[in-house]
This record gives sequence, C-alpha cells and structure tokens, in this order.
Amino acid sequence: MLLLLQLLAFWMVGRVAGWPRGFPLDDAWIHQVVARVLAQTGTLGFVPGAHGGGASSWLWAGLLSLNQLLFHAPPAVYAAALNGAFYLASGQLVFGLLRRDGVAPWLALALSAAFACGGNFVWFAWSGMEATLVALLSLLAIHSWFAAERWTTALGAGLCVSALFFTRPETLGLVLVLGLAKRRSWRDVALLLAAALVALASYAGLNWLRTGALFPATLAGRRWLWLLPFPGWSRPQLTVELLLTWADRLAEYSLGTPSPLLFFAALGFALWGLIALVLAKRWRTLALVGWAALHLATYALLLPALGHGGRYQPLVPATFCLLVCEGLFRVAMDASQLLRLGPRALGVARGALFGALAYPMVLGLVAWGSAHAVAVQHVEATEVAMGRALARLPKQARVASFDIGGIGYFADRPVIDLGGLVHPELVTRLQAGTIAEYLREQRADFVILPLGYQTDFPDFANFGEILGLFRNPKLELEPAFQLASRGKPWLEGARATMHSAPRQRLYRIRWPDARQP
Amino acid sequence: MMRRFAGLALALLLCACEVQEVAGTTWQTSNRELERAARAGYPARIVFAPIDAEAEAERWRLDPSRKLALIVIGESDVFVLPAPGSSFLAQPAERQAFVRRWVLPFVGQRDLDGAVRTAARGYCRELEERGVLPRLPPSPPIGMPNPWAHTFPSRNFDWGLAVTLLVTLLAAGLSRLALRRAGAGGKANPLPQGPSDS
Repeated sequence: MLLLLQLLAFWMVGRVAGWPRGFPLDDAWIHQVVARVLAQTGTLGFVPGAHGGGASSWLWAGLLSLNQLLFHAPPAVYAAALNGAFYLASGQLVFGLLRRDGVAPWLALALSAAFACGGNFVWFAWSGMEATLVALLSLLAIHSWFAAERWTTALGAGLCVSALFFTRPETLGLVLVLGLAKRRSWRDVALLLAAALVALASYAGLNWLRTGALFPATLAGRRWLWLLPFPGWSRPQLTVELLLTWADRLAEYSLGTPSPLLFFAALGFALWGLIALVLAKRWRTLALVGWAALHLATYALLLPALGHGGRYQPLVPATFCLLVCEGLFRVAMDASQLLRLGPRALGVARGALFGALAYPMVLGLVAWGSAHAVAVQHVEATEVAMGRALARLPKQARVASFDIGGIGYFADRPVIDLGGLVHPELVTRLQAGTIAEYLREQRADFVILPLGYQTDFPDFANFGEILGLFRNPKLELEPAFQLASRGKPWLEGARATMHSAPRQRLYRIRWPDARQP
Repeated sequence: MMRRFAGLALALLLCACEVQEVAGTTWQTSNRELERAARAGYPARIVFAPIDAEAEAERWRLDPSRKLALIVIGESDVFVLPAPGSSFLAQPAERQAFVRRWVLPFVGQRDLDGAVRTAARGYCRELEERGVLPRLPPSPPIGMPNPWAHTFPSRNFDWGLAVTLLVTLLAAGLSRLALRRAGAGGKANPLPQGPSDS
C-alpha cells in the first residue's frame, strides 16, 4: 500500500513537472560534470587533474559516472531513476522502522506516508542531487544498528555510515545518534566506530594528498555564498535565522500555506507527536528524528543554510510531517477514546483524518511538480543555453563563470570557476572583491555573470555587484549576450527551489590599461 | 495544574500578538553599514515611524541638537533630512531621487524591513558613487521586496510559540483525560500509548 502511495506521489510530481527533461538546479549539473570527468579521466573533481575541486559528494558522483561509462542515458533520466529507487526504498525503510517499533500497521502506514509522500521530500528525488541518497543511507544505518545484535549488523551499520560519509562528509554525527539510541556490545560499537574512522581517514587523507586540505573546496565557496547576506552576524543569530527560514519553508512548502497560525498549531502537534514517541519508547523512530535534529545542528555549526529547496537537510521536512501526523493521530485516538466510538465509527474517523491529511499532501505534490517544471525550464533557458552558446566563441577564448554546472557541462571548453567551488583560495579573493585581478591572472576573455532584473540594483542575484566587477575601474565589461527567464515563472521556481539568478549575461572583458590579446 | 498552564499559555498568546515589522538583525546590519558612512564624516540614522512619519520627521527637523542625516520611514512614506551643514542630499531633487531609487520600491510593497535595509545601503551607495566611500570590498546583497514577509511564521514567532505550547498542552490534557476515562471504565484503551500499538 505504501509502495503504491509512493509510486503515486513520485509519478504525480514527475507528471506535473513534465518528466525529467533537465535539472532544476545548477548544482545537479555540477555533479554531472564531476561524473563525466571521473568517467573520462579518473579524476574525482570538476577539472581533469584537480582532485576534489567541485566534488561535494563522491559517492553520488561515482554512481552518476556509471551512466557515463555504461548506460549513456540522458543525465536527468538516469538520476531520476536512481533517486526514484532510493526514494521508494527510503519510504519502505521508514515503514519497517515504525513497525519494528511496535506501531500498528495502519498508523505506521499513515506516518511513513507522511514522511515519504510530502512534496518536498519527493522533489529531492527529482532534483538530481544526493539528498535522497542521504535519507536512504541514514535509514539503512538505523535499521542495521537496531537489527539483531550480531557483528554483521554492526558492520552493516558501519558501512552505511561510511557510505553516508562519502555522500556528505558532515553526516558522521550519525554514529553518535546510533550509539545513544541503542546500547550494543563494545565489539559492535568498535566495529561501527572503526568503519566511520576508516571512512574519515581515507576521505581526509585523499583530500590532503591531492589538494593539501582536509576538506573539500566546495564548503568554503558555499559558506561564502550562503552567508553573504548576513555580515557580522553571530553564530546564535545565524542559527536562529536557519531555524526561522525552515519554519517559513515548512509552513509554505510542507503544510501548503504560509499561515503562522496553522504552522504553529502544526508545530504543537509535532511536539506532542515527539512526546508520544518518547513516552511509547519508539527508539528507532526517535533515532531517525534525533538524527534529523543533529544533522540540522551540524549545519548550524558548519554552514547555517538550508540549501536549494532545503536539500542540505533533507530529513527535516520529512520528519516534521511524520511528527505532525503522529501528534494528530494521537489526539484523534484520545478523542475517540473519550467519545467512546465504536469500531465502525473509529474506522470512519481514521479514514476522514487520512483524507484530511491527503488533501494538502496532494496539493503539495502538485505545487512541487509545477515548481520543478519552471525551475528546469529556467535552468535550461539560461545556464544550459548559455553553455551551448559558448560553442560560438573562438576555440581559444577563455571563459570564466560564477555558475559552472549547466555552463560547464555544455560549454565544450574549460570554464574558470568564480564561485570558489573548485579552488578554495578563491574565497579570500571573493571576500576582498579582487576577482578582477583573478580574471586577469587567468587571462579570461569573457565572463558570465548571474544577474537580477535590474543591473544597477545590488540585490542577491546581481553577481556583478557581489563579485566587485561592476563599477570597477580595473576592467571594462562589454555586454555580449544575455539569456533570461520571465519574471513570474522564474519567481515561482526560485521561491521553491532557490535555483539561480533570472539572467545570465556574457561580457567581453576589456582591460583599460592593456592591449587586448 | 493543567488549567493553570493553559491559562498562562493563553495569556502569553494574547499579550504577545504583535507583528515585528523590522527584525532586530535588520537594524544590526543597517546600523553596521551606516557606521561606514559615519566614519567617513557622513553620520546618518534610520528612524522607523509607522504611525506618523511626517510628524516624526518634523520633530527631528526642529531638534537643534541634531548633527546627523535622518531617513524616516513610515508605513507609506519616507522623509529624508540632510545633516545640518552638509551638502550631501541637501537638494530636494537629490533627496527625491534617493527615496525613489532606494526606499520607495520597498515601502510601496509594504516591505518595511526591506525598506530599512535598503535605505542604509542606498545612503552608503550614494556616498560610494560620489567617491566618499571606497567601492570595495563589495557590500552584501539585499533581498527583493517581499510584501508578505511579516505574515510568515518567522516574523510571528513570539505569539506563535504560545500557540504551539497551547496545542501541546491541550493534546497532553486530552491524553490524560482519555487515560483517566479508560482507567475509570476498566476498559482497555483500544489504541494504547504503550510500547506496542499493534
């Protein structure tokens, strides 16, 4: 039954989105470039020979590279197929956790459907990103750790944690959650820790050997980008901002309305759901909820941002929906107890509650499907089209760009990264506003800048301002070519997925004090 | 006990039903930005006066001790007072252009939080364009006008958390009553909250 509901939810988002025609995020194209470079050259990075640069998820890039090596399917179709399978498995694992926790089948079905069939969580599977894989591996690790106390299950949990670490390095905290959620023998704990430590050592060691840094360049670049609007904010302020942003997103994109009253009431039900889980000692489910919270806390420390469409913390919207559902059903069960409802009336009441919950979920799926459709359309019309258009430039022309995914994949030439994703040392230059000098060192002839609708307004999409390239006497930028999305569809996609700026403009660079090459 | 808690939560809810139109962090960011201008000899302050901006601006205009420029932001209008003796923004046309370019797009959409942020940016940006302030490093970007920002949960956390508490307490009270009823009737809870629901 759950599988059917999941298939229906996955189909619904895909149907509304018009099936996989592309990716809604430029970052998904970055993964594709890394996968292609890995398949063709053996380098796990954005640039052949530069290990680690631009590769935030090694396992995901590795899985995507299989397509380049073996199947040669359209990238979006392959990523959706892979993520679709992970998504279906994730829902089934949540159902399994709930059942093993002693939750009644009908309630386990409702709770796992709330977890897996929410629009945001389903969208992760269509996004082309590694978010669904993070959810799957987290659930597999919890399952294995709570399985029969044999060394094989401990090792299984350890391997899942290792794989999770290679999917996202910030996920090592799951070891702590597992250790606290269920006490196992020292041998099992040692196995779990050993697997995690081997993963950590090999990851950091490989990074150190190839790049001289323990962690990937992408973190520094993304930290700069996401924290840009919050200059001088303290850590607690950034944490509060992260939580407040999640509150707005959960209201609008999980509950289907930004209404504070509804959100805070739902938060009350979620809190009661959590208390009910604690009182009933549902340790597996609590481990999942605890892991979602710790993962969020890790981000509060490392990178206080929720990422495009909430993709950095993919378990947050799913566990929130599960907890709200748990709280609501608990209240309904208590009310039915007080009203002394007979079995038939109880069945009708349950069905009515199912229906009442299904309605906003279907609306959410449709909303995410349409947001996905316009986001894909936007990325195709701007970044991807710009990448294709670069073929018209002379072969020897050197091009730099802030967005490097769609442009890098289709440009058929090396693209110089201006986002600090490939070369971490660029971040200090981004902060100092000395990108003009960097462009000169790189002998760039053209630069592609993401822009908002007003070129002279310093908004969050105006990368000419953000990079310090506009109004800069050190270089002259001559507009050459521009691609843009229309305002309304762009805004619809951007609000849900936070994809990218509405315009990409190609500028020819002229150096005022030098003769052009 | 439960009633007392519920009463407390309700009191909190009723007392704290005030929408925060300009966030504390917005003031922090804006004041920090204006410090740049002050260091260059162009001090300014942004005053938020949603009730009667014109009267507030007039009060400041008549204040003989005022030494800084003022940008008074109301719910639907903006007033700019140049610093006494300063030539910056001294001309009415200059002030009008400033307001039209930077603040009105936000005030026009009722995004007063954005208006405060953009007023600070605009003030510094105009000084940059006159060569008074350095252009680098680049300033952080500012958000687009969002007329609905104050209606979202993030701006209503004060009273919203009281709602959350109230719902949780009501749910807890209901659960307690259901348990008591089940105990009194000697009838087993058909859907108990023990280790197993199955």
